Amino acid sequence: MRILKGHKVAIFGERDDVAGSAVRNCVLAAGAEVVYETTSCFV
Amino acid sequence: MTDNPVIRNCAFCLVHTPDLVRFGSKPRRELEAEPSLADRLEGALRSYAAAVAYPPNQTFIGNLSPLQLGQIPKPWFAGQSPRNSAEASGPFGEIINQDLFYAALRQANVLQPPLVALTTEAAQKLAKLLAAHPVFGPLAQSAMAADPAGFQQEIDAGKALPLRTGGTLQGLVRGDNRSEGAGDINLDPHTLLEALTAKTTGALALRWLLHREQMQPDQVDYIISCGEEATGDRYQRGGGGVAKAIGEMCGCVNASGMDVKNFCAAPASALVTAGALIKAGLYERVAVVAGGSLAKLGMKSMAFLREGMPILDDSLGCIAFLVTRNDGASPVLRLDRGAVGKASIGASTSDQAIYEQLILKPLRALGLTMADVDRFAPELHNPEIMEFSGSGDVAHKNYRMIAATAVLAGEIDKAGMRAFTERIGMTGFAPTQGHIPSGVPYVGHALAAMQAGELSRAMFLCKASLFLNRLTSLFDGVSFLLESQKRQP
Amino acid sequence: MLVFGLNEPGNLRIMATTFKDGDPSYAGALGGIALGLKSYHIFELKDEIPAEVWAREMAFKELEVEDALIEQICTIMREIRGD
Repeated sequence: MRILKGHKVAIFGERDDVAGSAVRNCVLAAGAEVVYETTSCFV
Repeated sequence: MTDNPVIRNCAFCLVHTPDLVRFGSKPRRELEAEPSLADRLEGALRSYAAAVAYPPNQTFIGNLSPLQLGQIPKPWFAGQSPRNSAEASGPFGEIINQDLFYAALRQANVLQPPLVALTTEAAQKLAKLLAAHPVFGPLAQSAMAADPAGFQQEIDAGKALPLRTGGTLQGLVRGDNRSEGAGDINLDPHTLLEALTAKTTGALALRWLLHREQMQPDQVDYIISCGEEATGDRYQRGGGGVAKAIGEMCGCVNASGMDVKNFCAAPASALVTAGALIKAGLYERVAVVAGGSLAKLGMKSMAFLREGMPILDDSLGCIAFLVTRNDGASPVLRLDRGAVGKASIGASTSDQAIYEQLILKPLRALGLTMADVDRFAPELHNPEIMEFSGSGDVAHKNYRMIAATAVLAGEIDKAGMRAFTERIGMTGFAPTQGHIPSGVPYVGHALAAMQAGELSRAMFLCKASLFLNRLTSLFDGVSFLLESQKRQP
Repeated sequence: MLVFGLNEPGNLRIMATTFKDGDPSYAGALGGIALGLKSYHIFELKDEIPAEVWAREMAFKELEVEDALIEQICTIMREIRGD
């Protein structure tokens, strides 16, 4: 079953964990549409 | 390598300002939404004695080493200090109390009518306190006059913020009351308190640097400020000028200066820039200085209230470094071609690419491997503050990234990551003050360990969340190597 | 759906619960509002990502983050989704 393909995705990343941009590049390559993306900086 | 500059000296101070926690960005927003929070917040503030005894603070001023701190069981805030009587002074600087800070803040004002004004009683008391201080006495350059009463009306009208000690009003900080300043949020009481705090704490650190070096202020050639505060008016928000304001306050009459901005990595960028100015032969003695960040006071305070803990982010950090030509003894800042790690724009936002550029590329340029580095100093945030607030141990995460880089470089295998981080790592100990924790708090410990012949090479890795400015999704990183000139046993 | 890159179990639990059932503290904008959205962590979605993209974006993260923490994160996400 494809979880990402054709779905709208909101992304919450963190700088010292996984940045939003890395998640975005992954989910786009899997055929999802990114509707929101943010990267937190807890410091 | 002999023409490389040295980091000859440094200073690290904390300023315990519990009554300014409410002016930090997070508490301020929470208090606006829920004024009844004030009592709870106030009830959770630490005493000065508790801030002094707090082991990470003792580490910041050099009374404990980061490795000694790592041996002390947590929670640190609830325990006894490992030293019989924790001292406010250490080899690198001191933990400054709020009264002394208010006195210095009043001296930071250069305007008439003053932006910072004190009550008659406070002026008398604080003037004596500052003048009598062995390191900060020279800051008491002008008479500290008592200012006219009527403070409460100004505060009630929103034209000034109160400076309190508990329930006692000591003075206030005004916005710019000229017609040119009217309605300019960059010059309102709050923003000016942030800017004046950065200036004042920067001056306190620079005073400690001069004291440690036994150097006269007029011997400084150039000053680079690397704090994060944006100073300027509506037409040049973030214009700068903090370095020269700090130098002026400290009597560095022969120095000029500028501000280097690079978010949390600014101290690393500033040290590299200072070193390059020295290496180019432009200057002989460059001071790099950073004041503290008022906005970040109480950033994690809501988590502490939830956990029934004292507010641990109640102190401003301030740091200063002296960069000079090679004196044949002090640790060398390697500025050979390719020795400074940078995160190129083309490295995108990939952690792997950035860590390769920050660690492996500069080491290869110098013919070194990660095994040649004794310690790595990444973001050294106090883990007790970070973990209770749900942010995780930032230093630990960074050490895992450094270890992963060593795996990819083929220097260790995955199973060896833990042992590797134990060899090259340390416990975080710096306050959550943005630019203050980024690698450079280890400079003091590194200088001391190199002087003692216990450390030959340290790599500093500083990261910057450029994306917070909403102009880019990039983040930045800067790394540099510090090397002992002593032969290892 | 939500895809997270946060690795702190406590934060993940609160955020994933909030997007599914509403803010558990009833404090934020989603207090009492159940959007019913499913949350995933990027570590759970490796099979969906082309191998070369995963290698470039995530292999370093997989190496860096402790295996036990990755397992804990995936368990929390499955539990909140009710898989």
